Amino acid sequence: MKRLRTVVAILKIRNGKTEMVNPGLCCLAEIEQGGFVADDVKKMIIDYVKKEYLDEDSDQEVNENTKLISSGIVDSFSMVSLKTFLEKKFQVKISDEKATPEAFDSVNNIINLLRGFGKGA
Amino acid sequence: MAYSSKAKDFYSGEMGSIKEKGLFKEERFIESPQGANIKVEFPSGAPTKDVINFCANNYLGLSSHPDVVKAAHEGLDARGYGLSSVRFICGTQDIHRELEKRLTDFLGTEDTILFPSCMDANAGLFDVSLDKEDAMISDRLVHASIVDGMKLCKAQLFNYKHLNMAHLEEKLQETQTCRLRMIITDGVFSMDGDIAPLDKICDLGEKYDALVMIDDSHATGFMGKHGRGTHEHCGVMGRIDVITTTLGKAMGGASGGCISGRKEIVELCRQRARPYLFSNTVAPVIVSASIKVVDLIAKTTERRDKLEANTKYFREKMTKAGLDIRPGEHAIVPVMLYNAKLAQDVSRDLYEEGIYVVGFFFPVVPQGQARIRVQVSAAHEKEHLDKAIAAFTKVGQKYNILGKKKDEIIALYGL
Repeated sequence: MKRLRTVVAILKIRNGKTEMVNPGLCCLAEIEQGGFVADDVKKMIIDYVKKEYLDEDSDQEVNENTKLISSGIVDSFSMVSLKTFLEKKFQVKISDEKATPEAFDSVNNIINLLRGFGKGA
Repeated sequence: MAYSSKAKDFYSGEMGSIKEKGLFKEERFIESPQGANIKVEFPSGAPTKDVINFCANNYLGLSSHPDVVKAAHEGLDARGYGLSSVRFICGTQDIHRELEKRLTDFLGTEDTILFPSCMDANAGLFDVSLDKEDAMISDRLVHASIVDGMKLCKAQLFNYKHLNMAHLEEKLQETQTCRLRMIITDGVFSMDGDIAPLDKICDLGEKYDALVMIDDSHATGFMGKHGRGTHEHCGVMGRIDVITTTLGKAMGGASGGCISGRKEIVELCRQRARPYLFSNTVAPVIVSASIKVVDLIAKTTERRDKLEANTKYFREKMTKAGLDIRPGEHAIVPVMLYNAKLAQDVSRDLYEEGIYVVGFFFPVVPQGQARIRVQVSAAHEKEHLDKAIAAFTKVGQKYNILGKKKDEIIALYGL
């Protein structure tokens, strides 16, 4: 089910036909209009953070506002995995200037970062 | 000269910010040779205080060993003070070649190349041995010098959860299309004393055709039955492709480091490693003393055996006294306090009791894992250990942390 929901985030309906698009924020901008899909994108990132950075037995809560870098959940060295994950998932290239600890400090910040790509920034 | 007020204000501001965040590191002046008993001026200008040192990397107690000091004098007399050259111009003496050969034999590898430090060895290794088609797969808690070395390399970077073999395997599966892959880990992790499971790491390296590299700075000279390092301790001699290590800890403690391992990689480093090519040769005095260190530890395991016994005794007694010790067997003994201020207060009180230890907290260790890192040495006698245990017990009572586990300490002091 989780897999299926993720796929929804990278599809859109065009002329009645479903097709794959760049799931970066060119897509996320459209996704936001639908509302529900953006939640899926958030969930996808939260799931990744939990799986990639927390121990299996961790009871740490992670939501869209949870501080990731400044809280130490993701240290600056390990941030590279998150950057690679986002680049692959959303088919974008996040430059070193943009990949700052602040930009990665919460799922909401990450969504804002990705939104920039949707605007062709 | 354009040191404008703009520049001055900028640097002052940075310093202010370091102090504001509580990250300012103050140096303590030691007015004696390194050893179990040292004389310290702290804070600056205060009268000298005699303390027992529990925070040096002087694991084998060789930093001021008379034979090592004598060998340093002999090296100075026989080969001079400096060489005023990098290795490949006119900075290689017979003793450099001899030390490289001796380290190769001791570590059980194929070849060795000296560097001014292990930091330099780590800065040079990855850039030489891997390129953009390749992958570096590193434990997340590797030493800062490895992190910096990897930043200088074009290979793709992946990292796995600390000591987590399942996660390492996932990363190996993810990177199957890369040309070369290198698993990168500390042999022993400096903040925890954790030992990398090198047997499992080598198995995975073989299963997925990945090289294995370790930084054995906190192990060379004393881990393993003959002190060869973590690879001996874990029973994987001959299966590690690259070892970087230091002469600046157990091995006499002055400075210098090396890369030791597969001969093709070492040869390539000799041609291309930038910190090797562009920094001065290791000084003759250090080379001579290091040869003596290898002599001493190859001849007898007495010192590493004493360190092992000291560590076992200290860990047992501290646990019995009710301190929260991170379990393990290494001479790095982390006394867990969780709260940063508590770690600072306890280390300050211990100093008053004549025990020199340092508190570590975020960002040096993960948030909420503040601790005092005690380092046991073969230079310590039972009396030194007993004094430290008594001091920890006294200070532990004052802060009401004896017999308390993580949750209880956090309940008292917060994170």
